[in-house]
Amino acid sequence: MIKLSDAYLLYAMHFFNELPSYNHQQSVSHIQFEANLSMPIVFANLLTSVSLLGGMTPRVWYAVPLIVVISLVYGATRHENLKEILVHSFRSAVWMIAFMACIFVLVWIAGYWN
Amino acid sequence: MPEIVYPQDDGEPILVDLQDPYWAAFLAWLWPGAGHFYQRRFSKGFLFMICILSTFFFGLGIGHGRVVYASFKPNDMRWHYICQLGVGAPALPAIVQSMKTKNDADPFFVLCERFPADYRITSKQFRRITEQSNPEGYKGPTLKDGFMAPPAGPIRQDLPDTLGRWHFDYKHFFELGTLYTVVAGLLNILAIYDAFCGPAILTPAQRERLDSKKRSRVE
Repeated sequence: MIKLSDAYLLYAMHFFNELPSYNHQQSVSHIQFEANLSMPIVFANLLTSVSLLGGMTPRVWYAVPLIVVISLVYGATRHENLKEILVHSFRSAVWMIAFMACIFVLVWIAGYWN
Repeated sequence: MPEIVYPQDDGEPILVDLQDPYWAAFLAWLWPGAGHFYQRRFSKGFLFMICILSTFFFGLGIGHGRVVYASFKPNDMRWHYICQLGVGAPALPAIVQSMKTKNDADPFFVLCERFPADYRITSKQFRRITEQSNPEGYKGPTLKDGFMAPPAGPIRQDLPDTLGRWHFDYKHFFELGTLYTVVAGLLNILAIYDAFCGPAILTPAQRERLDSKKRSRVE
């Protein structure tokens, strides 16, 4: 059985390596790879993390519709095919959540000196 | 009638017929998704319309209809409205309300009435008039909150005013509503761009350039 940290690592490698040279054929293999292995695990863990954070600070939930809408509209301006729009939107959403998580950690650490 | 062809690796190019791009861009601004309907790009039109309008109206709802207003007075420079205006017709009533209330006139669609700035009980100034808050039966001139209307009465930085009351009453929802409506307006600018120029799909040549850059970085 694959370890959770390995799944994160594999997902991160694929995610960051392929992002600059995104194309349709790569995305199909990417989807298959993620569907087989890491994506459900990563997605489930992301959801769990957001749920835990949302439990602590309910206002965080107001970010969810914004992330969904922004990633969908941004994806739609980059593609014409609905399937490709959804794939791009998912990637954008992961990017945004990761970016917000980094800011959250920075602010949280800065709070120790407060 | 420009038609854009996006060549694909698998040999089946994507065709996007932009019809009249200027008219499509205007329609896309006027009502999110309308420009895409005009170009017969129905799925994207629905996607833009649902995403942008739901964000805008959700924001307007949690802001109790007060977060979208056009005011460019010295103490109330509402720059957010410039972004909100990107959503088109749904934000236009704010301009009508702004013109209607220019000379301290009452707005259309009054949401509530408030005690005036010079009310004799200082603690009640700018507060909502309800049966509980008005046992003395005040019937004089009042300040009126209108749907998408600027805050009534003087806006001062050192004393209470209607805008301050809105922030106090609606707490973080005022800021959240503003944020949602601003984001909706900005997202519609992306949709307008898409209606005017078509999607920013990478061509095989651009992909090849990016791939070569990536390869050179790895090496």
